[in-house]
Amino acid sequence: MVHLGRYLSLAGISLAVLTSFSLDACIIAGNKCGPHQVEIEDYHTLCACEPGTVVDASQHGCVPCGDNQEAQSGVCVCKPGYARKAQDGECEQTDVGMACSDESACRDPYPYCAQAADAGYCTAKDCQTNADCPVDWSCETADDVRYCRKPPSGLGASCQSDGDCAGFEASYCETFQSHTCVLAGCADSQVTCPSEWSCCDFSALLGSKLSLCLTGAQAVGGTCPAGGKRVTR
Amino acid sequence: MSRWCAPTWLLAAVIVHAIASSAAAQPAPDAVEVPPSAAETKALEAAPSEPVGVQDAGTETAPAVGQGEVEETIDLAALGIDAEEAVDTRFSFGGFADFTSVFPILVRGAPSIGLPTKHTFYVGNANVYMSKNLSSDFRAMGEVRFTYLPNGAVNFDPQSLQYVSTAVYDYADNSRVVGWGGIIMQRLYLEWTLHRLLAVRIGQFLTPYGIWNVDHGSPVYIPVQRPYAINNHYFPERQTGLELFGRWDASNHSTLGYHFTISNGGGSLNEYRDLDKNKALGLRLYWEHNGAGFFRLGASGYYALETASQPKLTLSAESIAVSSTIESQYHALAFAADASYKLRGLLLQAEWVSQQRKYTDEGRTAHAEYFAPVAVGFSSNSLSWAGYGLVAYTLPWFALTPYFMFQYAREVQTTTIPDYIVHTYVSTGGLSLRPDDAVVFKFEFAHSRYINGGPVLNSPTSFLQLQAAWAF
Repeated sequence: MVHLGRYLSLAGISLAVLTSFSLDACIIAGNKCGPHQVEIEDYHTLCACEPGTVVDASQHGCVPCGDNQEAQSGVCVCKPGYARKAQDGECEQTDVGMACSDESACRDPYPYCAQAADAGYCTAKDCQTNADCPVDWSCETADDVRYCRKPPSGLGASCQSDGDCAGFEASYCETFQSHTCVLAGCADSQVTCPSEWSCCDFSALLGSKLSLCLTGAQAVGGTCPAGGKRVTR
Repeated sequence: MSRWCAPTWLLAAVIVHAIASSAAAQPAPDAVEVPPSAAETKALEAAPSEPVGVQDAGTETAPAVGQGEVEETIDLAALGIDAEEAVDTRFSFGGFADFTSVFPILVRGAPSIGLPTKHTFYVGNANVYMSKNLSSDFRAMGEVRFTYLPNGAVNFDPQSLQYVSTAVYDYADNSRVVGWGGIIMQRLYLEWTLHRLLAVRIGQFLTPYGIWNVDHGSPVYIPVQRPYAINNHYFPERQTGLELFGRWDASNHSTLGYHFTISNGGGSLNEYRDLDKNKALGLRLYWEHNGAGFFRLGASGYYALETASQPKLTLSAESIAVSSTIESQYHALAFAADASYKLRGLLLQAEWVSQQRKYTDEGRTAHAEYFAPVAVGFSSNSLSWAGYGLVAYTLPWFALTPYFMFQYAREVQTTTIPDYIVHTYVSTGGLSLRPDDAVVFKFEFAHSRYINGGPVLNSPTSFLQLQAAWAF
């Protein structure tokens, strides 16, 4: 019986050791993320696409941006000096957006020197809709000329606070979900939304003044999301 | 994380060693267990966490305070009784229910999404057991929970919050508005006892791990709610498949037991559909010693590939093709350990439960992140774990039992705010009273703190709760 007690004690100790070592059977050692992903640890433990990559169409991983592209706010966009002629087209070198001081510096197919706060830039004229312009550009009117206007500066840039958006036309940092610089204050005429965009007022929802310019994709059919009210002028 | 990882062969060696050591011991004849007190026996009959069979190979002799679940192993043949004839084959109903009064003292911020912020009464569990010994070897068992859910359940995403309404017009009562409730199948199985060392359950069963997942009746567990280690579901609460179990009395005082499970695993459809080709495997080993007090030590493990998917239909002029779109898929590896010691009125009890998740490339799906540096992200491979320790002492007077429990949980959220890490410390002090064997009253104070809770969990939470739980 003495031996029996010893054996049983040993069994108990073994179980205890088993318990301890069960901690060690591990399947999560090493890289915690998938291909083209980096780990982020703050109050979360999550994976995000590494620089130069975006979430692929299947939503199951990250893919590198194509030639002459860079990742901006989860989307591959053309690098400066490059533009897409069609929505799914490749980014091709172009004169659109080149700096100019007057029209003599611009040539076809971008003969118009549009004036902006920082400097003029070459662009196309006589457009009718945004679709006539490079992707993300909008068709606007100035001095009775219809021309393609480049996207507002800073739009879509990553941010953590308004300070990160300071100096941009898109000066408001949307911190709830997208963490990007957006155009705010359209209901108060602080900014003018690009053509074919919608001005959505969320003031009633939030209890404080906030109106944002949203793209056609964000405000489908001109309907503002999350109960926002569309402002028309 | 690497400190969690070491060779698994060592684990296997320890298991083998434990079994070999036990097998070397002299086999002892079956013995009558230390008889439970009269109160414990009545409570057992009143609130069985498992229906009592003629010879239940899997029942662990739970040492709950004021509540016993004790297996009787009387040699009927020695008493001149035919075991076949002694089988009680009557169909029996039983169950338990509870009523709780919650006094929130401090509830602010995110916790108030799911917790009451005003004094609230609620009926929590209303569970019915149905069991029958079909013969001396076969037993059928079912358990159903009746619930008011989904009416009033909080429907939450970080941009909106609303209560689910099941209000409908009752055509049988002048179109009076009623809110319908639901049922939750707890378990339903057929059990075949081949030998004391081997019994088989087929159907849906409660996952055998730890202490309070199987002993899940509110009259049985001591606090008002079960600890995070249990209700965070690092192991699935229940599984559908096959369970093998048995126990071996190594001596008059010591018993070794095991449970082995193979099932569909976890997931929303696990009761009747496996969404991948892998079967989930589980193992529990325990050792009980009834000497100077009752001591039990247990260890459990579970591995599964957990898949959530949606069917996808592709139609053409000639054919119909059905495939699936994976929404989430990960390898889940869970471990648990439990220890309990009972000496007269004193109960010391602890459980530790963990889960590792390793996502497959196909099952790591992009989703919106909130309060995070990025708008869209993926869940990383992660470890969640929780544990608790409990001390209780039962006095002779109405089984008056003061208790104290401390628990900690490190959980990576997967639903409300995906990938958010929540560190929770909970201190609980309470008193339970059992004026009748089938009735228990609990009075409890609980205080939760969230360490490094960030913008979401930045305020502690305190509650007073009164609960009456009864078995029938």
